[in-house]
Parts: sequence; C-alpha cells; structure tokens
Amino acid sequence: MSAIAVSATATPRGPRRRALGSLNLIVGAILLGIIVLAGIVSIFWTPFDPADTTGGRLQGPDGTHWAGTDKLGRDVFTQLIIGARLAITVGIGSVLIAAILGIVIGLLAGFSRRWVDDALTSLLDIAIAFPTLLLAMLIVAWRGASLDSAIIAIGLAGSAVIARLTRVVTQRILAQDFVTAARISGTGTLGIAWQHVLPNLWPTLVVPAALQFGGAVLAEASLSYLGLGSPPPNASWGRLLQEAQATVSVAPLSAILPGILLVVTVIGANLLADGLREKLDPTLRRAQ
Amino acid sequence: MLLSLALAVTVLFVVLRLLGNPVYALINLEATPEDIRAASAALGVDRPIFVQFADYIGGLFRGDLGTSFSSHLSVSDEILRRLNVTVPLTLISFALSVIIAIPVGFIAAWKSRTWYGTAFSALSQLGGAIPVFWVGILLVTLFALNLGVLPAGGFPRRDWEDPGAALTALTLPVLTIAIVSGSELARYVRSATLDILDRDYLRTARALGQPFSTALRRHALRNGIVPVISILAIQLATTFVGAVVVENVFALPGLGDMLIAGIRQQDFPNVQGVLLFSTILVLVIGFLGDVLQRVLDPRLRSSLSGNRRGKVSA
Repeated sequence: MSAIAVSATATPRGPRRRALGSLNLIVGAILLGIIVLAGIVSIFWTPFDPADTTGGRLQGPDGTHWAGTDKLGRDVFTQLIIGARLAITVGIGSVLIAAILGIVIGLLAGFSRRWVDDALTSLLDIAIAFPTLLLAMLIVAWRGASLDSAIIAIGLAGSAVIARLTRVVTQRILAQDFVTAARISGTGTLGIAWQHVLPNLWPTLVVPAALQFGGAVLAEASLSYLGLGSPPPNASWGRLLQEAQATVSVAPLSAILPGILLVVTVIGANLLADGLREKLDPTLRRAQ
Repeated sequence: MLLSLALAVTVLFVVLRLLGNPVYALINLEATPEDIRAASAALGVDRPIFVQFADYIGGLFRGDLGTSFSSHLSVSDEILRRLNVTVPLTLISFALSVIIAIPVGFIAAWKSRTWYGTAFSALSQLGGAIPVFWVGILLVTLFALNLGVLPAGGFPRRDWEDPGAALTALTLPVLTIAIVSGSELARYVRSATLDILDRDYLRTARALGQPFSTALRRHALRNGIVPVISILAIQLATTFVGAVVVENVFALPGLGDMLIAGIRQQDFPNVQGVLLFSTILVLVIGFLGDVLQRVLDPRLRSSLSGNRRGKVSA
C-alpha cells in the first residue's frame, strides 16, 4: 500500500474519514448510553412490579402502561427496561470472561515454546470455527438454563478470538528491543508480561471486545428465545419476543419493541467499535 | 483436519459425561439402589470410562449414536430423517444469501458515493445486528397473519412427496435466514471490494488502458475471491446454526428442533448425537473452505503457516 494512492473510487479518508470515525463513536455511544441508562434506572425504579399481573391483558399503550401489557397483564415497559439491564449484564459479563480467559491463554501461547504454542493455536482454531450458539447450547444442557450459564457460555466462546489476538500482539512485542533490554536488566517473564505486554494489548483488544459485546447480547437473545436463557419474570428481550410471538396479531407492539431495542444495542456497540477502530489506528486507510 | 476431528470428538465425549449421570433421567424418585444399578447396566455407564470411550468411538465408526431416551428410536436414523428439512433449508438459504450479498456488497463499495451505494452500506450494517428469530416473527406477521399468502409454520406430514407443499413451507424460513445471512455476507463482500478497489495493481491496469470491467475480471476477481471463500465457509456454518434457531420459529421438524427438544427433555443421546453431527459438519465445511482457498491461491500452497498468519492479519 503506497501512501499516495489516489483512486477514482475513493473511500473516505483523511479528515473526512476521521470525522466519520468520531461520528460513529458519538452515535454508538448515544445508542448504547440510552440502553445503559434504562438498565440502571430499572435497578432503582420500574413503573410496575415485573410480576404484577393486575393490568388488563394485552392492552395497548396508554398513560399507565406506556408500552401496553402482555397476555398475563404484566407491564411491558417494565419488562423492557429490566431486559435492558439483563442485556448489559450479559454483554459486560461475557466480555469480561472472554477477556480474562483469552488474555491468559494468549499470553501463555505467546510466551511458550514452539510446540505448546502450536498445540494451543490449533485448539483455538477449532474453538473459533465452532459456532457460539452450539457451544452455548452444550453448556446450557450441562448447567441448566440460567443467566449465568448463558454468560459463561458466550464468554467462553468469545475467549478464543481474544486469545488469538493476544498471542499475535505478545509475540510482536517480545521481539522488540525494549523487551530485550528489560530482560537484560533482570525483569522476569511475569514482569515483562505485566509491564510491557498487557499495556500494549489494549489498542488491539478494545475493538473486538466492543464487537463481542453486541454479539453476546444477540446470542443471549437467541438462547432466551429458545427457552434456554433466564426464566421469567426477569426475562431478557429474547424471552419477551418468544412470549409475544403467540399474540402478535393482537398485540404487535410487544413483538416489535424488544427487537428494536436489541438492534439498537447491537448497532450501538458495533458503531462504537468502528469509531474506536478509526480513533485508535490513525494509519488505517481501508474502510471496514 | 483429522487431528482436530479426533480432538473435537474427545472433547464432546468428556463434556457430555460431565453433563451428569444419564441414569437419573431414566429413574424416578422411588428408585431403589437395585433400580439404579439395573439402569446403569442397561446404559452401560457402570463400565470403566475407557471401555465406554472405546465403545463410543466404535459406535461412531459404525454410524451408531445410541438410542433416544424419550422416543427409543435410533439417534442416527432420527438425524438422517431430520436432515430432509435442515439440509434443504440450509443450502437454499445459503445460495440465496450469496446471490443477495455479492451484488449488494459490491455496489455498496463501488458506488459508495451515490445514494443507493450508501443505502446498501447501511442495510449491510444491519446484518450482524438483527436477531434472526425476530426477522422470522416479523415475516410471519406480515406474510402469514396479515396477508395470509404463506403458512406461518409447520412442515407437510408427507415430507417431500409433495415438493410444492414442502417448498411453500420452507419459503418464509429461507427468506428469514437469507435476509440476515445475506446482509452479513454483504458486509464482507463490501470490505473486500473496498480493499481491492484501493490496490495499486488495479490502478496500474487502468493506467495501462484496460477498461474497468476487464481490470476487475482479470485482476480484482482472482485476488478478491480468496478471502471471500474463507468467509463463505464460516458463513455456511453460521447459516446452519441459523437454521437451527429458525426451525424453532417456524415449528419445522429439523435438527434444531431435535436439539432444543432434547435439551429440554434431558434426552442426552439425542443432544449428543446432534451436537456431534453438527461439530463434524462445521469442521468438514471449514476444511473444504481451506482446500478451496489453496486451489484458488497458489501463494497459500507453499507453506502451512503462511495461511494461518494471513487469516489473523486480515
């Protein structure tokens, strides 16, 4: 790639590209911020108790029930903001699991000798090729359907990608002169990992982590939709959609709103990831 | 490939043994120790773990995956029967998604300055963000409940004896998967195209006076197809998993239905069988994708590790 490429089919770059990057960042942060805010609010206050069935059944939206009620008379708006809290929990929880596990495995592979590295890498290749949802179903079958199972399963599935990237960055950093200098001055392996490798992982890992946040929310929604997520009344959006499917002709709103919130969350996370990518990597010229 | 297959099969065996003792699914609360022993003997779980493992591997080679706890039918027969739904669903959806994705992704990149190029880009951004089952629900609402032109779910009892009825039953599920898979794939096609349009060799070809279409065909296609093939292999596996979920939206009696019902009823042989089958399928698809990539790109043939590194940096 030459630095002076000028083509007829220009992709946005230079100032325009950077502007686009911060636009992505801002819009992503706003979308995700709304969901996070709703989730935080639901911890302290909800319009109704989520298990309160005193409302009429399948009512349309009005002043009391802002998004109507479900087939048991529960307030849909209440369930939606609790769903936001669950989505954020799933996203943060599984990204944390993926990051911790992935960084440990990746460091292990990056620091070890040839054959350990090869063995770990081929294991990771299988894990990456294996669809998240199938792995999640395996773990749900083992531990039973719950929010914890879903978070652990999705986090495990995501750790392989993080591990793979950590390994590459680790090997790149270990080849640098400042690491050799640190070694000569007596810094141990753990010290090098802590002082030199970990701080340099951040720019590489933050974008995939943001992408995994969105992927995790989607995967949990699928699990819940299939009845393999957290049980009601603290149901996630996937579960709400599954329940609303039966009554979609009478109460279409409850089959539409959770889906829209899901899309907003995931697009918010994806835009944030795109924006971060463009912010963190000024040399990036290719559009993704 | 064979190594990873052996590894996956072993991991599945270990994990599924951790799932808990299958004996408890067979006995009731008043079971006596004798009952438990009899059930264990019947399932063969009282034998040493290595004997069980050898038995399981032997069964795999014979295509014998055990007997379902709930229906008492052979698991492998059941899987084969259900492939009648899952295989056509996956393949037709995949073909349709490729047909959608290539022009959409290409135009989104090539005409990125026009309004429809931007619109296609925006549409493809939705791809990775929409839950597939939600698209299913929306399509059912629109086409089955409101317009009443297509069935909301189910599959003809007589299977493929009446191909028209079977295809009608698959129309909405196929559309559902193709929309989601197709827009996801379009995103990859778009970025692959953007990447190529930026390359020096294409500019050189144009500067030498080749028409744009010739330059594309001669230089861009051969270079651009290689990363797309590896994505296609992954995407085929994703489409298969999408089918597993979508079968549950449309009450189709395929593998996904068998898997979810198996998990709910704790029917371990069924769950194990479907997961094993899916794992092998995913690995085989990945392997074929790798082979195809090497056939198309001579640069990858020389070294094994070259391919690996290429994938990570891409």
